[in-house]
Amino acid sequence: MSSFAISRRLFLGGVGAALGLPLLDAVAPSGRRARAAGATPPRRLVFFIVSYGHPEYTVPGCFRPADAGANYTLTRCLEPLAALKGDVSILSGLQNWIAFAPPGYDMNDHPSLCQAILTGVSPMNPAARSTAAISVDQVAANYLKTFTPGLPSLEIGTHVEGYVTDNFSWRDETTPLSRLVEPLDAFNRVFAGDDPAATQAMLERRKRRRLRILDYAKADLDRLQRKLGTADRERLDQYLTSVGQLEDRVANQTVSQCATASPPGAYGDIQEHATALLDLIPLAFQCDRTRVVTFTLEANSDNAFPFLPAGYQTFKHHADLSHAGQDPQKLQGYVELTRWKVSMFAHLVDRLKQTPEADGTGSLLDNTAVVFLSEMGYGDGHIPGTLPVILAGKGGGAFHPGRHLVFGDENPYNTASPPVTNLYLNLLSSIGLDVPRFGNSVGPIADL
Amino acid sequence: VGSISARSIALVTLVAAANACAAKIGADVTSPGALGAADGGPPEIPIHDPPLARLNRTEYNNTVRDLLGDATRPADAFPIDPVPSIFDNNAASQIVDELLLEEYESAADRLIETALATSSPARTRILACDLGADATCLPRTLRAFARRAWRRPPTDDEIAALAALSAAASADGDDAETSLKQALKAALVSPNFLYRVELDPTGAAAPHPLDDFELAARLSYFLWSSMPDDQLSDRADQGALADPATYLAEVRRMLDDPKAASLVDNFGSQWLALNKLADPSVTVIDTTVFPEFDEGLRGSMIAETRAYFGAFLREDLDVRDMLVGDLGFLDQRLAALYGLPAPAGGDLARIRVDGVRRFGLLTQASMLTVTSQGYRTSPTRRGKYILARLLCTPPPPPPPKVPALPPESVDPNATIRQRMTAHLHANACVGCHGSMDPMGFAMEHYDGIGRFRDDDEGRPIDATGQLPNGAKFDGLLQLATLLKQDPRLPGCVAKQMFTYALGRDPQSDEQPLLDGLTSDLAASGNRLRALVLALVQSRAFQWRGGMP
Repeated sequence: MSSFAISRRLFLGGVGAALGLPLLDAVAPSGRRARAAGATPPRRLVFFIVSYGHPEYTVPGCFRPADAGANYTLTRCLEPLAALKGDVSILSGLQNWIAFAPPGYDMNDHPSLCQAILTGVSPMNPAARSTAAISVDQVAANYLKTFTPGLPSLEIGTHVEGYVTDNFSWRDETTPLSRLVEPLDAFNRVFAGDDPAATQAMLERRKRRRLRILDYAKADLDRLQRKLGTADRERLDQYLTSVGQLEDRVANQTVSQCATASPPGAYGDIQEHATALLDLIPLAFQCDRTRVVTFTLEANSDNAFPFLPAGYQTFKHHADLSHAGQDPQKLQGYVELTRWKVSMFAHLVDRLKQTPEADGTGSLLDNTAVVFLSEMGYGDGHIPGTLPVILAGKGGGAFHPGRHLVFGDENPYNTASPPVTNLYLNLLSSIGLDVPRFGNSVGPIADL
Repeated sequence: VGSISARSIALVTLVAAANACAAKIGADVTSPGALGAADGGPPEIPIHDPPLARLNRTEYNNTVRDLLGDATRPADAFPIDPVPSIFDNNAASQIVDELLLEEYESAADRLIETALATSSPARTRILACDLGADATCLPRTLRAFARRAWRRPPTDDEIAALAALSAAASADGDDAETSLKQALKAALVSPNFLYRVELDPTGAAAPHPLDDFELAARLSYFLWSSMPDDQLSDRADQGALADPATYLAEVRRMLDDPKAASLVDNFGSQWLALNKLADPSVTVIDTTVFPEFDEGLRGSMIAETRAYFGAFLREDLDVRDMLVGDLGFLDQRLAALYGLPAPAGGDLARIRVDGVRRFGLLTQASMLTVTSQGYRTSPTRRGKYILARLLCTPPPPPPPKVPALPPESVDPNATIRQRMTAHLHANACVGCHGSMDPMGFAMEHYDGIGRFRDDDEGRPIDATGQLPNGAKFDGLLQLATLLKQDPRLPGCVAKQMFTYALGRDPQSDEQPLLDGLTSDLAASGNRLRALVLALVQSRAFQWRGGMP
């Protein structure tokens, strides 16, 4: 076993201390927590992230329901959830104003907003890629990795903007996580090592071969590090960390006893692309390959959406729709696009609802929390208030969906509304991890 | 309170941004050399080291093509490379994470299995001896492979480590060739392959020249986006690149090599935004407005500008003539679009353009389409293209929290120009839009896919305007003529080439160096080849600053 003795950095120590979080506990669930975390069926989290908020501020009533409680009326953007109304709650008025960098940092809003939405911490030094925070999905992944060490979390999305700060998931304060875009790549990552034709001995040998190469790479890196200057040495730390993580995953990979899924085929437009990625999530959950997924739908893209109704098909996501100004045609296009985003969320929720747990006790959705959210609320203004937030699933009994819950007013500039990080405390609690604070959270939401 | 203070902050930010933009764009351009030393000798320009660069996707694909004869472009499946501004080889923005590492690992696995297959032409070059019969075969094979893969001679320790990996595999029951393959795969997962390593001599904090291997690699990744070939590697082995004549002969040879097409496909394509036009999800055309448009026409547009830039590079033409000149390329689809007779055979052919409607880059359908809106023109984007890509004075991004134009300012029956003029009446917008939009207005006689038009659906076109420096123009030809004479143009070409060649942005204290390159470019009659030669002979290219 010495070939994969773990020498990687321990991320959580420093960050946990900085945030005042008992995160080290998260590495090894124990006691009551272990029972919740190790519950059968397993608890899971999905973060479903869309970019640029919604057009609610300029088209009032297009997203946010007018009435609260269980008998609320679905708005134009939320109509795709009609058949799932009892499975979702709309959470209005949460904000993430902490995202804005302290005055003096010369940076575009987009990276700040994206980096901060799952961390609840203001990006401190974006140039050095330091957000000084681990993201909530990775906290959950670290906590649950005991059960799925081969793939603690899965990061996927339909689009990657070619810029380093286009990241939502952060393994630690300096390590953003890339996301996979190709459904086949994502499939291969989830089901890596599956080979029904191979014997256990063959699989073990393959694993040893991979680990030998990674072990070599680490030693080679060590030789090289000693000859480099400080800056380049630090750059290579990323590589060293990655080798350690991959070693860890390879060493822990198990072969599925689960029904063999067939790999996804080719896709056409963005809608088919998103569907192919989303459909992997129930597969991965049913086989218990991972318990945490972060999916981004056209995050930071400036793509157009030719499948929207006529009149809106050439509008670009960022330039035309999120920044529609007062142009009525574009604003309506943005409503239609937002509706489409919600429809893709509805597709995922429905798939989780239709897929039974492996042990036959209810559906995946019963034991999963799926959160729809965006890094901003008022997209045209880059304003992280009145975020669009939808919570689906029962989270193993932690949540009672089917309501419109109102936490803050309709003014996106109102920084006094509750922070969205309050919700993260509930999400972590649903998988068995109770923490007093996350980022700028005040306390968990009382009744979800 | 939150609401009010946020809005106040927003307005302050906005005004500051508008002022910043006006200052940036309106600034006078310093003439070449004006920033040089006040008296006497050349200015002391500090040497900045590029951050340790890893191969980007294109470089990885080309490198395994040249190393293993594998043209399958495995890196196309890797995570996308960061593009902080125009180019995708910016080392400072690159990251490596576990996802990418796993891609490297599985690509290495596939590549080596393919290369050593019995039918593979690469096999004999990699494995030229009998592993079973000859004990020296393994280390020899590893040494020869690592020399090419790592772009330098490996050390004895490094070969021993690779051999030890192979021995461990054999001890685990793998046969000799399977064991070798694991070592070869390891060489491709090594940081020595994935990164373009440049070392400073121990304790050297002072500037020093690159060694021959490092210099050869900088050269080949600049000119070819790939590893050095055998001849360049031999020159490095001989220590011959220190000789300026040998070095320049190699540079000229490389520029004449077909692999120098990467300067067109990589540098040119990114500089002129052809990569954005090529992506159908980025440049989406509304075919109800433009039924003539299809993927074939998209391809023709790209081919035209690609051939055009390629001609400037290969034939060493005056780069300013890209603004106004008589060179053109045309195929059947473009002929129909431009209303010109199709060339014989219909394939892309070199032509002389009329100099009235078509006279250079700014009249080419690629530029006019990639900067449009899909269903209409966008004067702002067209102006921004010129400012950012040709003059290197990009406007800052639109300020955050910008208050939207009031709805009554938008009249759906107005021309684009009338609608956009609202920008110029809003104080917050005029700083930047005042520079961008007028240049775009000059191009209004070209529709959203680059067709010439006399009017905008019956509404007259006003293509007059004025630059921030007061120069007036009427129509694109007059604007292009002004831009052709703009001293920022050659300076910008030099800056873009520098940024691409070194994989990093020039630092502010390197302005004298950029000025020097610009002077060299001007002295040559603005020939790109001269710029390449000046760049590869500069200290910024040939030296390192030394370990901090």
